[in-house]
Amino acid sequence: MPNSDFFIAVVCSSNMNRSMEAHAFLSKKGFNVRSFGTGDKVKLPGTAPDKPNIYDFGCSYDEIYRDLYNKDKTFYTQNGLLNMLDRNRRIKQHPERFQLCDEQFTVVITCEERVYDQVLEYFETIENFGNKPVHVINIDIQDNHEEATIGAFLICELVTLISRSDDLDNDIDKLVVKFEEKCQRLLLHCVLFY
Amino acid sequence: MRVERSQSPTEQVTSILNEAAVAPDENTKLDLLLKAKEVLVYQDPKLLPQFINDVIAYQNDHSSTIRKFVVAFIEECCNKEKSNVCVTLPNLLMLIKDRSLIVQKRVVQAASNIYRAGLQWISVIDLPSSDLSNVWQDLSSLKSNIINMIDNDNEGIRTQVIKFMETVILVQTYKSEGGIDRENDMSLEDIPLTLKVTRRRRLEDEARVMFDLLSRFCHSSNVGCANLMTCIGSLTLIAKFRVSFIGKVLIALETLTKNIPSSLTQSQSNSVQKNLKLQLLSLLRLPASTEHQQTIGKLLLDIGASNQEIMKALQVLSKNEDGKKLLRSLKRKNDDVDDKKTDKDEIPEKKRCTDGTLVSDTNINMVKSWVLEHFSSESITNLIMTFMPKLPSKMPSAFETNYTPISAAGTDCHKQYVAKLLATLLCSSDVVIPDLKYIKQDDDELVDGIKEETLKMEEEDILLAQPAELNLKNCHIDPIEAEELSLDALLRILETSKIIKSKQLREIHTKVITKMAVICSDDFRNTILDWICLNLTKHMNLGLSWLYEEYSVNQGFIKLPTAFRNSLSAEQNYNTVLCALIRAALNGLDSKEKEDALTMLYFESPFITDDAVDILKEICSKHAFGLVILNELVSKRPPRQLVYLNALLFYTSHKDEQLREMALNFISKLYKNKDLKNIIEEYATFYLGFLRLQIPPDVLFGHETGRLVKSELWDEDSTTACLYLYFMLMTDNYELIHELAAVFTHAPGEVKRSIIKLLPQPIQNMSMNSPELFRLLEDMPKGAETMITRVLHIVTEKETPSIELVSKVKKLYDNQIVEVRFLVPVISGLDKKYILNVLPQLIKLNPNVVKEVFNRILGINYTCSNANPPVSPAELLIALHTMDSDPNDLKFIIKATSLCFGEKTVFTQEILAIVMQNLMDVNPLPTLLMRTVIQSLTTYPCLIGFIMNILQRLILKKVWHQKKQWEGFIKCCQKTKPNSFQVLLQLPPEQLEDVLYQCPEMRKSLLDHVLSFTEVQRSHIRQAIMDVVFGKRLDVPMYQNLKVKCEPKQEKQSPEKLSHLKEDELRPPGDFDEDSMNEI
Repeated sequence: MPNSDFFIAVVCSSNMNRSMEAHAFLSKKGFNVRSFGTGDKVKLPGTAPDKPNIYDFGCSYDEIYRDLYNKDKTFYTQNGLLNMLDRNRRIKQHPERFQLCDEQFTVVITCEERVYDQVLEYFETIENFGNKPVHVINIDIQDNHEEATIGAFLICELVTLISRSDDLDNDIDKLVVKFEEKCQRLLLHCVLFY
Repeated sequence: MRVERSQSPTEQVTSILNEAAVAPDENTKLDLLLKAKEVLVYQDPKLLPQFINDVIAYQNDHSSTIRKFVVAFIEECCNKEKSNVCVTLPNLLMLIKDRSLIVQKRVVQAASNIYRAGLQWISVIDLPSSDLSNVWQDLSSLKSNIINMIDNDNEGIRTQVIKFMETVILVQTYKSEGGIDRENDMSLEDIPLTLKVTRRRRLEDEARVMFDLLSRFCHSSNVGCANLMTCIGSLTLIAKFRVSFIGKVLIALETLTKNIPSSLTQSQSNSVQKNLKLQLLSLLRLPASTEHQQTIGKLLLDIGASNQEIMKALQVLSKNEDGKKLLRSLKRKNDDVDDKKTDKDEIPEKKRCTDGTLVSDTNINMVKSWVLEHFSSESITNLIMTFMPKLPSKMPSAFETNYTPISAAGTDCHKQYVAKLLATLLCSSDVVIPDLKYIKQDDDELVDGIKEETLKMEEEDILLAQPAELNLKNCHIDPIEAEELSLDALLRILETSKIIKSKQLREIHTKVITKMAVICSDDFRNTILDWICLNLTKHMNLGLSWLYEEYSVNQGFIKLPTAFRNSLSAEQNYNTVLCALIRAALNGLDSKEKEDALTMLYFESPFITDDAVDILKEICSKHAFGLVILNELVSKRPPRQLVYLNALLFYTSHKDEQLREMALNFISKLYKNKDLKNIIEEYATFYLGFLRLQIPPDVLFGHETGRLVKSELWDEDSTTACLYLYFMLMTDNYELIHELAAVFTHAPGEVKRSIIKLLPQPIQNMSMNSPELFRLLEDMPKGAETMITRVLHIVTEKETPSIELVSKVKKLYDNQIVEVRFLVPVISGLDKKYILNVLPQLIKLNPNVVKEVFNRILGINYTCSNANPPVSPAELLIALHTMDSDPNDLKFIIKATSLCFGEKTVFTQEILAIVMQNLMDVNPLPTLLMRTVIQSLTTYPCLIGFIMNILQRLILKKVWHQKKQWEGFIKCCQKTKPNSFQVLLQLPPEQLEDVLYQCPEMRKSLLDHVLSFTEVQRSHIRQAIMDVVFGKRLDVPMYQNLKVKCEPKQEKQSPEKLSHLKEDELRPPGDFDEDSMNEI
């Protein structure tokens, strides 16, 4: 499939870690990729479990970076958040919410089942008579640095596999099964329509 | 690519398109075309009509990307301006047959929008109905094309077809209260009742059919995961927008939850369930679904939704009374579950199975396997019997509302389902399962053991879960070996037919083989076919059953999963099987069996293909029963009657007489059928028309017709080949004679002769008063006179012509339209005067015709001879003598009279005597009188006495005044000597002298005669006579004279004898009977 026809969205809940990791990875490989979150707010771990850092989606990575930098530079450097935010602000301006995006993708990859459900629910609300197919695929990735890296790797592999197909609608079932076998993970997949 | 700012939009588009036309690679071209589209569709739509065809012309581009672009372009054009639908539909219909699947898919995708737009457009536009119906026809054909693709091999295409069906269903049904309302939601209400091309009712029916198709599709056992989800999505979408469908949709989804296809992998079925759950929840949120909430709720619980989720969905509706009710009941249930949970806490750890964790899932699975293992009719019966007494006496209302009958009890899916329910029950109770006890002992100790056991169990689980399918994970068979094994299995199945006795079982056996034959690969098909052909008589039923199955597939009664099909179309498959069976029957069996088998195949097959008809034609040329089959097919299979009829008609011109006669017989019976009459006549006329050609057409020759050598000229065989059928039809329908006459005028000579020759057969029974005959006479084609005369001859052969016929012919002759020959057939119907009038013309005809004329006039050779012929023989002969005629025509009259003398039975001596008697009275004497007298004498020597009488009377009439008669008189006397001597002696001396001068040889015999007289007798003769007799005036010495003249007399007579006399007439004149003379 030519790249010009192939648009990928990677979605996690906050558009911070997993989706951004994959976004970085995929754009390096030359894919048309965008990343999103599905949550109501952008949530980042705080110094204690009951004190998360919460931002709006409109808030830029740079602002978040500076906010955390100011809050506790050592702590956030240590847990890698600053590093991650630094990477993110080099990729794009601010986290985006999937539900607010108008663009139509070929494949939407979600990073956890809850996100997948939210994406499906979002499509439910569109409720028009469109028939442009979009494949939503979920790969469960735990929300930490190491898993995100591995996850990005898997996503890239899956996307490469998909991009090689001439007739994705026909091959998707087989592709997903094949990929499941290869990476020993269960995927969720469905076809929806814009 | 660079476009000048200053250019006008038209020039801009033109230059872009020009550039695209010569673009080196498809990407550049695509870019340019996209640019053109942008301008045409969005920036400057008014240019679109001008350029739309230029862009669409790229639909023939060799690159599928470009073709795909064209489809997208069409779609956007139609969305932008609905009137474009009618312009672009033909292009879409072409593109849907595109060789690239991607393009096909894109067309189906676009079709949804275009169908909607098209329907909207024809609903609002005011067009002449013919244009409108064209558009509607194109739309319908697009629709049917797409629906037929539901079994396409490509899953993507199937997906799009489902979406298309969804659109059709939505568009062709009524909105109802409570559904979601959208701006773009076209529905049946938007179609005006006044629309001419179709009716709302019909559209709605179609939508219903399509809905059934859709729900059947999602229940088929081998539907793919993506398709299934699309289907679920479409069904819920329909339910949301067309709430009247909610009930049906729920039934479909409920069936689906119980029969999730076993071909799906674990994760796929998870995805499906998840999707289903989501869709059901969204339905639950729909205000219109309140009356179905119970059902939806139950379904959701069945597929593992939590109460919280359901309640959350219901909270949207909490204002609604019913919603509240359901909410309350669910809450109660929830509490119960919670109660149980607290109870469970008290149960010792090892006996309890908690849900939600991985370990407990495994437990349930293990228990489920265990349950499945112990499923037997006996154990189930026991279970039910034990449970029976515990049932409440009255059915609880909750049960009544929630209960749905199990549609397919006893299937493996159902068993699994029951097992799972039981397992869940077992796990949530404190029942201890003896066999499983060790698993529930201390986990730490037996971890390894459990793992092993679990694996084993899971394996069993998998096997049980997919009992009917080979799980490739578990058994690896070499594909070639697998094929061999499957073929062996097939052979064994086939062979079992030998041991099957019961009828019911045989039916099943047949059904199984038939199914296999239809869905399996060519190898299987061929094996089965060979096996059937091995003993066709015995396996005929199987063959027919197979044919019916193929036919059902072909007609779409049965939808086959695409994976199973071979590359041939259903129609080809059917044809192959039918032809193979027919050929087998033709080759293998003895003649009786062959006939039976073929008859059965042709009569009982659901459809006879063209190839099969061709084979039948071949059969016909070798076996007569082929024609019997054809004949039956004509009457018993009306849809393709014409094909069979044509084949049968073909044989009516076959060279082989037996085949031809059979075919003609059948046709003559079919000819009575009003529907076929015209066709048969047309065919016959067509063949008749060949006769106008200069040389026989090729169609009359060749292997099929039995005429192997092509003839360059018309001969009798080829001519009759064109006539058999026509003549046969003519015996029933004389109207055809007109066309025959028309053809006759143009036909070559040989053909004319053949027609004349064969003509008696078809019209032998034609009545002479037939209106067709009269019509033919009235308006006679020029050149057909010969034929028509022949016709007249034939119809008048047995009876005297009727008055009408005679008058018609007479009129024709009087108006000088026809020659005198025309009168011949009707001559016996003409009056005497008329006949005598035309007699001079008639006798100038060919002698044979003249003879025929006389026969007819006199009624000779007639079966029912006319008692009163218009002219009596005597009258005829007299007329011949007395008619005014040119001296040049004398020879015709002589010939005619000779003919009369030939007919001895009619022209008896009595008649001749009367004739002569009468002729004597004519004054002047007729020219031929003496000739006739002489001829009468030759014919009837016994007339001599009468003739003497005549001669004497002639003397009285002073015959010597007419030179011709006088010569005849002398000749007659010469012939009748010695009887004539007496007459001679009565002549005046000058005349006697003249006689003796002309026939000197008479003198001697006359002298002898006189000398033999007695004195008395001699005294009666005048002296002058005596002088003449004795030749006193003669200078020549008598003796000498006698001597010299005697010999040449002999010589002179001999040629006369040859020319005039017959053997028996050479008797000496003295031998004749005197008595007969006296009688006259």
